[in-house]
Amino acid sequence: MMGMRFGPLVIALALVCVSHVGYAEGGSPELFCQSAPAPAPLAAPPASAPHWRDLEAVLLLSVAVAAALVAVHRKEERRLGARTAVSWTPYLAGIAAGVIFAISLLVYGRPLGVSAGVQQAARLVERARGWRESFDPRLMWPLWVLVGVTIGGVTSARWRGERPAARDGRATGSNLKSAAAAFGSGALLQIAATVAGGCTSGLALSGGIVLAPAAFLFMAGMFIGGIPAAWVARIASHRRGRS
Amino acid sequence: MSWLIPTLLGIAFGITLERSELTRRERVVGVFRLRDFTMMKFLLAALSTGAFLVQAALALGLVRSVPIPPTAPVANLVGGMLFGVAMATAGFCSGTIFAAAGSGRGGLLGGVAGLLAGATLMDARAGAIATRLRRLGTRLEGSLPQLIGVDGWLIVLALATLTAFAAYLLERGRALPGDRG
Repeated sequence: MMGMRFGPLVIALALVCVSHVGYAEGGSPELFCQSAPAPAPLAAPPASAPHWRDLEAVLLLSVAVAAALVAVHRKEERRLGARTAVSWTPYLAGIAAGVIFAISLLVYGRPLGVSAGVQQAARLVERARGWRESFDPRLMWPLWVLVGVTIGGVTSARWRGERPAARDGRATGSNLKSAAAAFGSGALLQIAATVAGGCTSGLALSGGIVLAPAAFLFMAGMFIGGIPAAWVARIASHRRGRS
Repeated sequence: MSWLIPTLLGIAFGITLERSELTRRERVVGVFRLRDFTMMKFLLAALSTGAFLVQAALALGLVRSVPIPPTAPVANLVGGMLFGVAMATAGFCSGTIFAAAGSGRGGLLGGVAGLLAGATLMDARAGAIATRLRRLGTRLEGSLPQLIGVDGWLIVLALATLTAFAAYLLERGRALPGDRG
């Protein structure tokens, strides 16, 4: 990976800085996705309710079907001799994501959120460093979601035949400035998610599908803040003489 | 085995993110520059579908209740604005940066390090700011239907209409079917 040159250096510097910040237990508020699972939805099942065990079987079966489709797709690609780097239309991908989030919320009673997973990972590190006394293993759900998102992204990219090459032009990780910029905006991202109570997946999507006002306020704020910021960034990079 | 289901769900979500090319920087920044609306289409489609399914499940009696995030208006809005600024400059959000792990994009490790550093910072003394912001304004519990007294289906219908209208507006200039975003 191109990011290998400076990425680890940035991480090391970050860890050094963070270890000097000073730690006080119980600082940040809990993100929405950290909520412990709701009581089992069918504790007292009504007569006509579907059996959730069957739905889990359906889920696993769908995964098996998807794997079979992937195998067929690959076979077709080899036959046609072309790497079809097919992208889905965002509408289809969005519908699929909506179904996934609904399954997570309805069948398992947990929202899907990645920033909560980041918070959990940070707490794991804190416990390893001895800063944090307690660690609730029940809150591992978002961290596993994060792991899954990573695996899914890698799998999908490999499936498309994309090679890990410099794709974004000037924004390659071998540039220290871009790694540091990514670090800064990543930190701001997580700070903002902690203030708001989640990220796009954890608050906007998971909260939006249950029609919580928090999600819509969050999304409104996202565009209110993001549109001027992108405009300013565009002007700044114009001034610097880049396209 | 409690790790299996969240991992599977995450895998599926990661695939949808990567397949719609939202892991690419230009797609994320593009929506804030009002050029590339992929993210907006994705969000609207996901919201409409998910909200429909949740309302259907509640109406059919499949579930009694769903977890709803409490609303802290000032924190949500201010946090959203900060999040938007960060996302527009970074070109990623927490979800897409991890889904971009396979794409070799720049700033990957730096971004992840930044996320972890931000989380650790908030767990330390800086978290008190967030807690105080969350206490500002009236705290609301519950969903829009519960708070306003409007039927949930009406909001689902509004979301679906908005999605359809946005799709019409955004797609009518399209010439080629393969032209995405």
